[in-house]
Amino acid sequence: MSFNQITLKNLKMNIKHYGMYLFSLLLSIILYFSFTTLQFTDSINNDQSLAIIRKGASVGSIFLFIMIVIFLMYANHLFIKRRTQEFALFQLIGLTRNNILRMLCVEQIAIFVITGLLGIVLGIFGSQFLLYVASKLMHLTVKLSINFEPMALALTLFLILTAFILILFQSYLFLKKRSILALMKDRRQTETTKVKITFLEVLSGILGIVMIAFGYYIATEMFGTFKKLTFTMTSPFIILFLTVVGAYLFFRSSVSLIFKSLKHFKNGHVSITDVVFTASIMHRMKKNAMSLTVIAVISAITVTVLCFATITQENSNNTFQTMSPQDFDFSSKKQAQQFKQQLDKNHIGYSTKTYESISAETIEDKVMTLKDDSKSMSAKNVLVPNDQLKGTNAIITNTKNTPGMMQINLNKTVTVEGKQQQTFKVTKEDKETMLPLDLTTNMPVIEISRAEFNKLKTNDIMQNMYGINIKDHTDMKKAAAIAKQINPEIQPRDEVKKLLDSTNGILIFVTSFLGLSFLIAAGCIIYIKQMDETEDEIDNFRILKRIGFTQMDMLKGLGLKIIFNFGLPLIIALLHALFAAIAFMKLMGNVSYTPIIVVMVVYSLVYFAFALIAFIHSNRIIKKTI
Amino acid sequence: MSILQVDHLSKIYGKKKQYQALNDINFSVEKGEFVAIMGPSGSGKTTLLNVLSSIDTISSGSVIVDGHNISQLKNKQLAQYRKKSLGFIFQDYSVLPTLTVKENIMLPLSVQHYDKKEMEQSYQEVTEALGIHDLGNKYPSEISGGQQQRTAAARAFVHKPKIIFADEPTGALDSKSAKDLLNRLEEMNRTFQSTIIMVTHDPVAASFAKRVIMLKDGHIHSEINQGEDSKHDFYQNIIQLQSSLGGVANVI
Repeated sequence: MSFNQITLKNLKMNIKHYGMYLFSLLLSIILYFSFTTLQFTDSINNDQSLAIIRKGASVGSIFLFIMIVIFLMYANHLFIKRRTQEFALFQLIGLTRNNILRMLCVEQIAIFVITGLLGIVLGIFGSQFLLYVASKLMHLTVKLSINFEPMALALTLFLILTAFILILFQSYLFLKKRSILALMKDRRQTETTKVKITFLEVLSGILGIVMIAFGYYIATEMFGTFKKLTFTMTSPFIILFLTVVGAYLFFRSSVSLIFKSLKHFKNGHVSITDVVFTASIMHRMKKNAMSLTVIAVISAITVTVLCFATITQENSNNTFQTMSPQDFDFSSKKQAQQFKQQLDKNHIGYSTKTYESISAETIEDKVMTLKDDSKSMSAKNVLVPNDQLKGTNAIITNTKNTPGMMQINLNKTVTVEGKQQQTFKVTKEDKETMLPLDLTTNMPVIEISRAEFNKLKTNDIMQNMYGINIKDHTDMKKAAAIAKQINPEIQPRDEVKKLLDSTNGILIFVTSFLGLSFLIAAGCIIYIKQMDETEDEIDNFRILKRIGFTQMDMLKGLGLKIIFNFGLPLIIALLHALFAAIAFMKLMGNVSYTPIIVVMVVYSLVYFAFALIAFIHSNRIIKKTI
Repeated sequence: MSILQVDHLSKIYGKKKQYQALNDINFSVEKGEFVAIMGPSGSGKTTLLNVLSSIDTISSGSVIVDGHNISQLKNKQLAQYRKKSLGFIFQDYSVLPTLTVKENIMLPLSVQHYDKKEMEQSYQEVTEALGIHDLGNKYPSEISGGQQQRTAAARAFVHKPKIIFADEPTGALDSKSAKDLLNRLEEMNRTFQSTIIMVTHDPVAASFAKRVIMLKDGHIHSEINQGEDSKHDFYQNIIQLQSSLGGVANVI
């Protein structure tokens, strides 16, 4: 039996230890291949697609690429760590590091070739399946077909190659850094050598929390105090830096600070839960800090991306309401008349709704102001009549999509000039009403009394919208044909909706696909980490069992540890994402928190499914130790 | 002819807080000798073995094996030296659980690309001498601790190295398995003329050697030879020496 054969046999026998590694590799390849296939599928991504989809798809694939490489390297690190004893033995019988590296290379080639082929085959089916699910979920009305994309294959092969080289390099560094003696003793090292709390630790612990808090503060004040930074595009990066580094310091020092204080307080009287939970976590705080930060950042990005998608969708639904409030919308009175006549002729029932507005010169506006800046916003104000109003009282409305940097001040006055000059006092804000986009250009609108409206209006500044609703929707096709004859540019509501749905659908699809991949990646990383720790601590569990503790005694500590490992990064991630979403909503002018909460709850649920699996698996391992 | 020559060997651990593990050690080992290194806990036994066997570096002095100064060898040459000239037996067996007994034993031969016939022959010889010939197709998890340790010993002997280093080879075995293994080692030492250097704290194990080097606080305290004495007398001598050093003595 030659040495290469022994290597392969060794790998084959070890396969159940590497199961998780293989699974993550396979999953990564499937995800990446599916995603790039979609990216290069013509019906999704063509020249007519919105810029956001094209950009989103390419940014998404780069993101996915980086994520996968980091993820695989993390998995590989744990994988080679399991084998330090074996490497020591090989060096003892006279292999050089290069020999071992060659051996690893043979192994990895075998692994990569098998998972690569399998991953690509599954990826073809996977992309079909995902697309099917996505199109059902998002009511995609465009017909999509996916074929095998050579470009996707090329990119996937590139990913595999990159990961392969980096993993070999990582293994090389791992071997290079450790002497034979170090390899033999590797698993017995502990990281917390100092029991005392050092000044530096206190400092960085506090700094971590302060940095995160400050990052959040900038995020909420992006368009307030830090407006100048935001306009130069620096504040997002500052926030990113503060929150990521802050999270690391938090995990690295703040947590260890808390645990050390607890340990100090207990003064040697440790319970079984302490042994399984706190001692084990302190034992590997440095490593923990890094992986917890990675997980927190990945989760934060995922939740943010998903929030971004849902907010955008909600927003575009609002836009849709204003774009096409009725089945057919005419801005010319003559065309509307013609259309109605034709409908009558064809015995199609309909109802009408007419909007009228004027856009008057702004003289002074104290109601709509820029934040921290009392100057009025625009040169013109849009005014509509409201029959319930009397005198110069006014209501401000159409504020649902108002950008966050604008501020509405109630009980202030606004002076406009139409046929004559008039000052109105705005006493109320009506958030619900939405007016057609053509009249308002999405700006807030002031409702005034009919009498005042008539006093101001002239033909020049007057704008009308004639909306027509078809009573029986089976007549829509016919009606649309008629409308097209009168004005080819008229788009019926259904058509606008279709267009919007497909754009939105793809956006949601791309983001939720990315979100899903990242969620799985984060879940896998943390699961692998948990299993790695449990296996490292088998000896501890064995000792504990021998000195008379039962499985049940250890259960609580194990549960707490898993809650800590999974929960802490999740909390940080959700906080990060919440503040990112708040900042984003300010930009978009959306105030509904429902989509964000839904995203976060769903994310947390799936995430906890991973925690549960980890718990069950760890528990089983402990049960098996005698 | 001496196969191992140690001159003024010192080993210092740590940078800020220095700890002298070995201090000016001098001795030599003849070809075919069976030497035991003894001493109380913390006297530097294992450190000495690690340094002699090239898996740890030395701070000063020299270790010359078969004419080569090992502290001057490059990594590749060191690997070559370990491959051809050394065999290791450890307390915790260190057999790969993923390979069968036969594969574990033949590992050093596979690495050196021996041809098949030669491999089979060496395997035959060494497993018969150690009494594990029937276990070839079993996995380590299917055999006893004593058998695993004999597998490790077989692996150390199979490529006929010049020196075999054993670190507490009987440490994890019961007394019967331990005696069994030591008898086998003694026999191997006689039949193959391999030099064996064994670290142990067990006087029974040490009494199988021809010579005992006693360490204390990082330097050689004394040396005793079996000479013409019987194993039992040699054992008594070792016990006496050990108790004079303040170690824990157990008289049978």
